[in-house]
Amino acid sequence: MRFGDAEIPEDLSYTKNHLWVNMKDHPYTLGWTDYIQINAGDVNHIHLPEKETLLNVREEFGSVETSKWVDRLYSPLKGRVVEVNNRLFKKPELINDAPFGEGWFIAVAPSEKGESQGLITPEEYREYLKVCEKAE
Amino acid sequence: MSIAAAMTLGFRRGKFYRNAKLGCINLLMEYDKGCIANCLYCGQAKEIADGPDCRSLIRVEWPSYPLEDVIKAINRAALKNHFIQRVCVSSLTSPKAPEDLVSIVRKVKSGTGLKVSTLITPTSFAKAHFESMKAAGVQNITIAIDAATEGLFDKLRGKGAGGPHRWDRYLKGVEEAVMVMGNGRKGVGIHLIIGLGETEEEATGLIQRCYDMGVSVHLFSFYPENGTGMEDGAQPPIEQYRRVQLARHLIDRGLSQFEKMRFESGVLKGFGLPENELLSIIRNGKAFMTTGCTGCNRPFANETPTQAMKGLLRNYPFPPNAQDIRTIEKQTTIAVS
Repeated sequence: MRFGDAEIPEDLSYTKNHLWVNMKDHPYTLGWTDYIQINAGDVNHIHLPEKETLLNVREEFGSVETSKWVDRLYSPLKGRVVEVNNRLFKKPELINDAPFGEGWFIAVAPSEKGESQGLITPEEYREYLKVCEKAE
Repeated sequence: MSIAAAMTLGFRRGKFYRNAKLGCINLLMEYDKGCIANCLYCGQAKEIADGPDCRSLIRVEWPSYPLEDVIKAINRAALKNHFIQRVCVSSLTSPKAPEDLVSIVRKVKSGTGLKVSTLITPTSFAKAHFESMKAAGVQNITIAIDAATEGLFDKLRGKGAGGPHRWDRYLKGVEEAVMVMGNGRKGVGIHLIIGLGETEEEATGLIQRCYDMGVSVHLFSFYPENGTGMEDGAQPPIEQYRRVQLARHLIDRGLSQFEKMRFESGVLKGFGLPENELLSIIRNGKAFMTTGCTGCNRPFANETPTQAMKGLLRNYPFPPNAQDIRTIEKQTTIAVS
């Protein structure tokens, strides 16, 4: 499905902080949505946690910076970072070019109980984007 | 135009940290051969810029658009966004710059009705050009002196850098601009970059000299631009920048003077005011906002948004809030104690 120019793949979960989460396989992967990368501008830098970092729900785990903006990244999952997309440090433009592909941020092994918070469906995310657009 | 202007006018998508809004649309003239100067800290320096395709200036990209489209976009944006008050036209160093600038100013003035400021280099501009600019409707002429001393100026912009600029010509240019525009401070300004190698005493001395001439000082904090001769330089410590911001503010408001301030080894140690008055001024926050023409707030021009997020916002593009004031107070209290 789409919202304006932005793609919203229907096999992912989303957060109201504009992250997508792929929970189809283990480990789960996270990244920025198409909507936010379109509206934020060209990404200049990204800060991500190191491998083996333990994440808690709602904990800040990094940030993404454009020319005039910075977005703090908050984890919707409890788990352990098992992989970091290091390519993004030298090629942050991948986040703009392929937000659901090569622009992924981190892979997380979820906790045993699979704790998460704030995950919404693609339909709920699209409704949320309508609210965001009205607010702006 | 600056990336901030491109975003504000809808040419580029992008967000501003903390929802900062741009008050002045910054335009930059460009030429096929680029700038003929070679200032070592500048992304437009002839030895690195290689013409107008090099887009870096003051930390960010400056994408190009036809002037006609820009004027239409300014009108559309200004109707919806009353925060936009002004257009600033900056000129590179080029023999064609004076005539082209006047032509652009006329079009922008008649096309938008907004106040127009200009940023020029006296290397290319003579007094007669200032008169033409004033006749065309320019409200402010600003000259980017940038360096606080003749020695630094020469090293970074003049002979030492293989560039055409001369300190004497720049200061003479400021005098000429005052003769044409008046000395009411809104008519003429200079840019001063802190962190190029000057002491705080040298910077404050130049600030006082400018205010004595009836000229306002617009402060910048050095940011090392990639690809320039100074890309490995360091930003000045935030405490140092805050001291100079405070000194400028006090001089600007007539609350103190350079002669009353105390320096030790070039570092500002006393501002010539009782501590309680100084703290009150610090807590007001205005001293730490972007300085320039009215409306020119240059959001996140001297630091990355990440630095701003970490409390290292050098020139606040909006009134500092309570948390900002606490941060500034720590940075300035350390500096003034």
